[in-house]
Amino acid sequence: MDSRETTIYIAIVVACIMIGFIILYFFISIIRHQRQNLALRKKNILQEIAGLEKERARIASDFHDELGPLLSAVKMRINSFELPDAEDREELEKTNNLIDDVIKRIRQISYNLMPSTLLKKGLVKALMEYVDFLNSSTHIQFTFIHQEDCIINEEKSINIYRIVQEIIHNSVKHAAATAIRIELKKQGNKIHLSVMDNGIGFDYNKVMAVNTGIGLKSLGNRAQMTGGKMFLKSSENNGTNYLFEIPI
Amino acid sequence: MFISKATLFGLSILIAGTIAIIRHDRINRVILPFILCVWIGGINEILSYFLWETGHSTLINNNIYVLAEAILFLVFFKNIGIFEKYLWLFGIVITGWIGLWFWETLILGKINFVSSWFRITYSFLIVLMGITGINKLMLLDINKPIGTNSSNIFKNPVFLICIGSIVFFTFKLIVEIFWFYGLNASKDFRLDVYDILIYINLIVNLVYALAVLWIPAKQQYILL
Repeated sequence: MDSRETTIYIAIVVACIMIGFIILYFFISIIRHQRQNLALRKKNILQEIAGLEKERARIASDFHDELGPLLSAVKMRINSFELPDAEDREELEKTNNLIDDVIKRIRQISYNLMPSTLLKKGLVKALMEYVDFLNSSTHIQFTFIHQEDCIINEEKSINIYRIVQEIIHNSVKHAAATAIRIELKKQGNKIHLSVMDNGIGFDYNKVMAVNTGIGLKSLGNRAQMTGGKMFLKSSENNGTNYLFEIPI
Repeated sequence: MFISKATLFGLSILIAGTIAIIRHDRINRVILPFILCVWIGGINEILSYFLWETGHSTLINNNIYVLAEAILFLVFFKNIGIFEKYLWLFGIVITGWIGLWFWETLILGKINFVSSWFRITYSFLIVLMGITGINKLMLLDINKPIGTNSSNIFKNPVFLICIGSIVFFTFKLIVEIFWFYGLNASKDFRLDVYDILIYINLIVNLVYALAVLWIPAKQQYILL
């Protein structure tokens, strides 16, 4: 190459390097912003869930601590009436029963919103109570297998409890399951939660495409919130197995 | 013929400038550096035309214009949040550019020549800022500073300004590198390259006009 050609060659090489750098920067910038975007979305979801739990706890506490005692006071007041008429006494008895039902229902709603056992005695006891309640109130057979040493902090416990609630809700509502088995085990520094049902199962891609899979997304978000992973195995007519790996 | 076409196409920047005047009371302050840049660009085109017609060099006004253009684009990118987390970088870039411009044009005494180092540097960095702006817009939603809600990206002024900047300054970067290595020695080659540049300039100016047209009005009230 003569000097003129060399100059042209160098100019083209320098221009190509600059353009190459611009293209490289373009891709790096996309990846960086994509990561920032994901982190931001995750943060928003986590804040939303944390806010939701806080609000649930507040409502549960209001129900339990304010409405419950108030209704008990109402019951005491109406029972203090001395009614000579048998018909009136019968009406009073019916009213008493209604108030008892309301108190019971309030306790149940309050418990669903934020189980006091979960906060006081931990995840295992809360799940045991929940499974007992489900066994006594539904026709589905629930089994809970656990290790006693599955001790985990309150925030993660709430999330695991919600995960179980959501899965059971899905299995009962959509899967027509007759048996559900919940397993909670500690392996190393991880908690393994497995929830299996014998229902009709589903095609993951179809569910996500058709009804946006809000329930499944919520499970994924909860798993993310605990810093864990979610695995799902399901096919039509073969039941569903959810597995969560949560760091302690 | 060449000069008249170049001038005519160059003056197309005044379309954006005119729209900006018509909509001046509705334009958000965030976008103001860009509007100023459009107007300075228009004035520089007119000035260059008269200087050329009267047989004077246009290099002094162009050298001053590129500094103003660089700073105004930089402030615009800062306003839309490019330097959100790295405000120190904004300081470094603006100081570096002003320093480089002074060094090249005043200290080296190249005010009557093309300030290649400065032009290459600022074109390159504006392209990078444009890329960052688009990626931020697409992935992180930087509509908030100018309050646009349009879901159509092609009606988003920030997107249009960034795209226009990337296209124009990438070509300008290549041209400046060629000139830096003395490839403008051949008049025919130089005129052919400028011919491409003026068409790109026209297209980018029209894109800028659309951007100014679609700048959303200032928010008249604060939502609580």
